[in-house]
Amino acid sequence: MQRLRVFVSRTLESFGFVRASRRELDTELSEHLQLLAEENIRRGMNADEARAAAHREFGGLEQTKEKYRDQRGWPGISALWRDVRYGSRLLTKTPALSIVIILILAVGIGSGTAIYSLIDACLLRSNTYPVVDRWDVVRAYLPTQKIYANYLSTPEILEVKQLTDIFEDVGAVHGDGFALSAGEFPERVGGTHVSANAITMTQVAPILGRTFLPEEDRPGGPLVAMLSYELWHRKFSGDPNILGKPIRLNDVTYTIVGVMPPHFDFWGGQVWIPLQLNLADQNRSDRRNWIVAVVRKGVTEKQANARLQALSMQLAERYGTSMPEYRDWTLAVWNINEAVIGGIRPALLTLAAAVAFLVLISSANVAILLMARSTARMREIAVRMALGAGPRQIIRQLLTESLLIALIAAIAGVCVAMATLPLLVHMIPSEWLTTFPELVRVNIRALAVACGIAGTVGVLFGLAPALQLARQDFVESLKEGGSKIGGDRRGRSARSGLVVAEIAMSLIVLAACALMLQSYRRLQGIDLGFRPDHMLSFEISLPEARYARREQIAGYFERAVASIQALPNVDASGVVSGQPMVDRTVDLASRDFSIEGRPTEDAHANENANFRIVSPGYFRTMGMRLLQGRELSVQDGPKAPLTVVINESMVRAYWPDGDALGKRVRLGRVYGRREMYASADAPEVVLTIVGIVADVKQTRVIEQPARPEMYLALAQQTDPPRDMAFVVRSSIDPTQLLTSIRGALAIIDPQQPVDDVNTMDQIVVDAFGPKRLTLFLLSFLAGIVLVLSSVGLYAALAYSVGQRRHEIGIRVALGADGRDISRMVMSHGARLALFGVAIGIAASLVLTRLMQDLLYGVSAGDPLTLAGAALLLTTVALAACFIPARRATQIDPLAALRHE
Amino acid sequence: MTPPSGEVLQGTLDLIVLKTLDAMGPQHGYGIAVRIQQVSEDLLKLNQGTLYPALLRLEQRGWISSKWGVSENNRKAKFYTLTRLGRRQLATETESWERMAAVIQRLIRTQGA
Repeated sequence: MQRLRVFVSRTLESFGFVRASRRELDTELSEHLQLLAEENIRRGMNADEARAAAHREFGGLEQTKEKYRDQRGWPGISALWRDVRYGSRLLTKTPALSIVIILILAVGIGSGTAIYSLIDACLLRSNTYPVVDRWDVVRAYLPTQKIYANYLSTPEILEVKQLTDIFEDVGAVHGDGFALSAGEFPERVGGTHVSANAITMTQVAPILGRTFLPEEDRPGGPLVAMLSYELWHRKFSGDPNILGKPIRLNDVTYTIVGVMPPHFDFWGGQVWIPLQLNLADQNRSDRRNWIVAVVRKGVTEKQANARLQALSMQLAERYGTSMPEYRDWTLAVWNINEAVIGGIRPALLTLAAAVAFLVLISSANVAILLMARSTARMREIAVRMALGAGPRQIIRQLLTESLLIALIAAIAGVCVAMATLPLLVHMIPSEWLTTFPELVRVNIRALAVACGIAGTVGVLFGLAPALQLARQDFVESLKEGGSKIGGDRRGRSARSGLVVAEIAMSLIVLAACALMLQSYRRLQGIDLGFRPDHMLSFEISLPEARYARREQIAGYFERAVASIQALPNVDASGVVSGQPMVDRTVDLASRDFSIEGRPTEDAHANENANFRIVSPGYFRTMGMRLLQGRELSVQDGPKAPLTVVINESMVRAYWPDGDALGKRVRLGRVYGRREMYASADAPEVVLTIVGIVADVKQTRVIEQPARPEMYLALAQQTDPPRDMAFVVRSSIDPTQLLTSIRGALAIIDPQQPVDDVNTMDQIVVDAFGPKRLTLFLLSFLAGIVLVLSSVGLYAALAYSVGQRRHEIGIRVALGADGRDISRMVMSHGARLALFGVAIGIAASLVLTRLMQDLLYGVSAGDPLTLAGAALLLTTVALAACFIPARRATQIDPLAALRHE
Repeated sequence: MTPPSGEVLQGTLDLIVLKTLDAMGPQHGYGIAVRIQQVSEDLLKLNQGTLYPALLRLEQRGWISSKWGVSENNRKAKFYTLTRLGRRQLATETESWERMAAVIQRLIRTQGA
């Protein structure tokens, strides 16, 4: 109690909260002395004697005061407070410099943290799924066909499920779309068929109700559904009594049993229904589900893959004769994160590296400025040491100052980060983000690391002069004024080193940015294989309940195309299974085939090509180029000979002499998303090649080379897909057509929803999205880095000119003219800049190779691009040298020499 | 390190100041110093300056409080008053001092005999 009271009172006094000022003590003591003196006079002394005696009796006045002060408050804290006050006075004495230092640090910490937070939120989505690190997809690679089979059959799923030593849990899912009838118009929502354990294995609990029960996951089990938080809010206004209520999906009524928490975007769906897999199904070629699995803790990817490989070999042994695809396929795990963000990982890593460089460069900058500042204070420090300040006091003082700067900068940095992050997220279209915007938060770890680096730099370089003083005789410092010709050599070489490092790092970032820009330009000029202008696209998925038979499905699409075609301002229209440039993966629908008349020594040497089912008008609507033969036309009806149009890549791969027309191909096994080809047990059909068209960029990953591809006539399909994309070419702004198109379709089937309406231009722009985002962020970083490194060079040079005033004065006095002086300074700066650029180029050649995956049409070591970056940096650096050089020429020799 | 005779022992100053304030009521620093000297009949050589850190210490512990007022000769002075806590402290310290003094006295006697 007693101690606490003393502690509180001393602490309050330390910070001057209880302000019994020094003057008060002075008054009290002088009164005391006065009284003593008066008493002495009364005893008969004269005034002088009386005062002297009073002082004697009182004892040391100053000692008393000091003892009193030490006891009031805590000596350490009081001293610290004194240092802080002194430090802030010094900071305000050179406000421009202090502000620059703080700003640089704040921008470094802030923007670095903001971008890193963004990267982190996109890259490690651990905030959405707890088991994301161990959550894998199991898929097969078919080396001869060069495709991945993501969709697998029921027996295959069960075989993987038996590897219990590797997997904690194995489930199956497939994505789907549902016509949700709630409210006026039916609406299509993404949904997923899941095995009962597929949701529980994510270890995310529903916020309402429950997940699926095993008995709900059996064929013929109850029809139940779970909703996403978002759908629950959007369609059911977050009704707390939703459980047990019905939801109509594709004209079938399901009972709602649970609601998942926000941001649970499992397989991109908003509604989940039990998969109800028939475990007795022995059909190995009916592959319609993805395998999702959670790997046991402690099991590495390598171990898991080894087990899967063993399983693959068993399958080959047992079924290899009847199932040729088993002969050399390999099952392997694919981490869910990799599956979702695999494509943008190189971009994120490049950005993360650029952020690291940004923080390092700003730290180096601050180091230069702090060193310059404190070296300039050597003399002051020496004076204080001469007056009796101990080295510990000096170091404490310098530390306090540096930490003060670091602290202010850190606070400002936090503000910058908090201000920049929402801005960045806002500027990025939500579909480019792989996560939810509200999940992007300032990353505390990143902030701590950035502040830590900045603080360390601040302390280290703030202390430098003190350590230097400890090494050398401070009397020397006093005599020399801290710096004269030849003085401060160590400091100068350290500064030069930092400047060179900064410029080198800037060059790396600039080079990366330039490469990205180059590659982006090439991409924009890429031949898409179709003309995206004046085109509208949308999707129709016919529900199985109302469209069961071939005639109904094909009939709907044929009538729809015809009635859209008849609308005013429509030039052409068509349908396709699988719209170009919408999906990321390549294997949405591919098919094995063999070429008739060509000897296949081994039955499994099957070829594989993607395929799309199209209506006759599709090629014309898309503006695809016909290279040979003819397009599919209305003649290619159900009764006519089966025909196929193939793409350039397929010709190049299988008919290098270009004699593909008229050749016949026999179709085999199908892989891919069920909605895109409908029938699994397609009979072995033989098609005649009637035309060759130019390659079309089919996936969003524009830089990916086109695969061999076949276009099949919709009218000739025995089991046509129910999900088709419409493309409409118009002579006016295509969005204006939407109402009349909806009207025309409503006449055919008023209950049928129209989804994913987009202009083709927009689809193309979106496909460029991630690239543009990377380029944008990288340019942002490169800009900051360029400015920072020029400031660093400028500061170092300006400081060195200041330090060399004396020397320059002597040179001028000895006859050097302005040009000599400015040449001297410029060449100093140019030396640093060029040295930095040289190192930077060398480092870039090594480092940019890591971003090769990100680049298209330009090699990572592209000399022209590197040269451009180097030229830009050198120019800016030289411009930064210009001001100090000019200032040097303006030095008045007389003033400079008198200055000492 | 033995204190010259007549110097105030470490720790005893607090007791002396508390006792003085107890006997005289509110008093300023000078008054306390004079009183101590009078009572001790100048046997205690007090560096009057040392009184002030002691006063601050006592105040921080809450045993005395201070207030600015006007001295007898119409001058500004800081008056110190014993608090209730201080009075209690004085009692315990007096008691322990007496016990201590008795012990020491006994020790000296037995040693001397």
